[in-house]
Amino acid sequence: MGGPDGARVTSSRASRPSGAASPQVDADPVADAFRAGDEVALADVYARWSPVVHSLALRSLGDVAGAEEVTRRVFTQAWASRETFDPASTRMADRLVGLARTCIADLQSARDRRGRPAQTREEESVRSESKTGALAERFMVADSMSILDTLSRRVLQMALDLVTPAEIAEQTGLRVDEVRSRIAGSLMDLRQQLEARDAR
Amino acid sequence: MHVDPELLTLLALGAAGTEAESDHVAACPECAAELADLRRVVDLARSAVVLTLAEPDPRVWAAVRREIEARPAQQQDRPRQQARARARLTPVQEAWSAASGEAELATDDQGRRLLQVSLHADLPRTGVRQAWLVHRDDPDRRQTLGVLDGRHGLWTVEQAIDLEQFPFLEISEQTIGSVAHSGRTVVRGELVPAA
Repeated sequence: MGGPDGARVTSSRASRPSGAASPQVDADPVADAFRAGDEVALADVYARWSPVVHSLALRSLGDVAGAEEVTRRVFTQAWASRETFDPASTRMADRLVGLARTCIADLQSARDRRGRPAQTREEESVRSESKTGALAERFMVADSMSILDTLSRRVLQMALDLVTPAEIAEQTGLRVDEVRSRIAGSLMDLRQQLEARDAR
Repeated sequence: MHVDPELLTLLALGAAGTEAESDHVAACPECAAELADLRRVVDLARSAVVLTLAEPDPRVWAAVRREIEARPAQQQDRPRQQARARARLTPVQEAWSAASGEAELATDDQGRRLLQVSLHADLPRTGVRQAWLVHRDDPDRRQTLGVLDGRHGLWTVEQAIDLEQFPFLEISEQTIGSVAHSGRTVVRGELVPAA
């Protein structure tokens, strides 16, 4: 099978474009240093991931004080338990998001305990927990998009807004084939980040 | 022959493919799965565009720092140690015939030699127990390590002390304030290299 348009058809998946050779699973020198107790690594990890943790908490809890409390707890807990953290099997971001979800749930249930019937509480906590999980995934994707280079990010955003490659080419000065390969490359990057998480 | 991956991403974004492409994707499980997978990424990306990533206020980092500094050593890496030698301590005098003990010499990650001693004995209420390294050939040549805390002792061993020359570990019963070995040896054993 295959279409008549031979140039747009390939015989193998192996050639699919992808940003990095392998997902960010393996070498993470910052995570290793973090685990070994290097406080500079803690500062790096905080600088890199506190926006995701804080934004997730802010969106889940709805107030800055709660979000700051969660952020503070997540990083102090991650530091205190760093010896049990295995960078080879868990990515730093996933570890932090996992801690964040627990902290958010704790804060939510502490708030909920102030005067609501038990059954409602239980239902709500299940609901908000899965909501936080889905939200966490969206924030991780938002983060993956934020680290794309400026032009790729702009191109991707237009493509997501259903702007055609020809129109994007016109607006950016790129060739149409460059636009297409940028879009594909960025989406493959995003997928790879997601897969690296799903694989565990 | 499958649909070009680049084209699949465009299809996932909602572009219309040619009839042949659509036919192929509809008929090919591999391409269909790939397209479904890419659509999931596209959906997530569309839902993520509206999210803003906000940095926390600097006071949060300050609070993290304060908390970490407030509880430094206890969970901080226990020194990674490697056992170098061990000794089984046995009684040498009738008065302490029920006593025993063991000792382990290890090096930590800074190269310091740490000697740890555990003593199993009914201790009298008075006096202290003192640890000594005794010369291989001359029992009168000995170097004290210090006094045990109850049944346990932990010391760093000065690098200048050659444990080949001073391989015997001795615990003696001492009167508080005395300097010389009392002669009342509780247990004794030879430090032998750990396997």
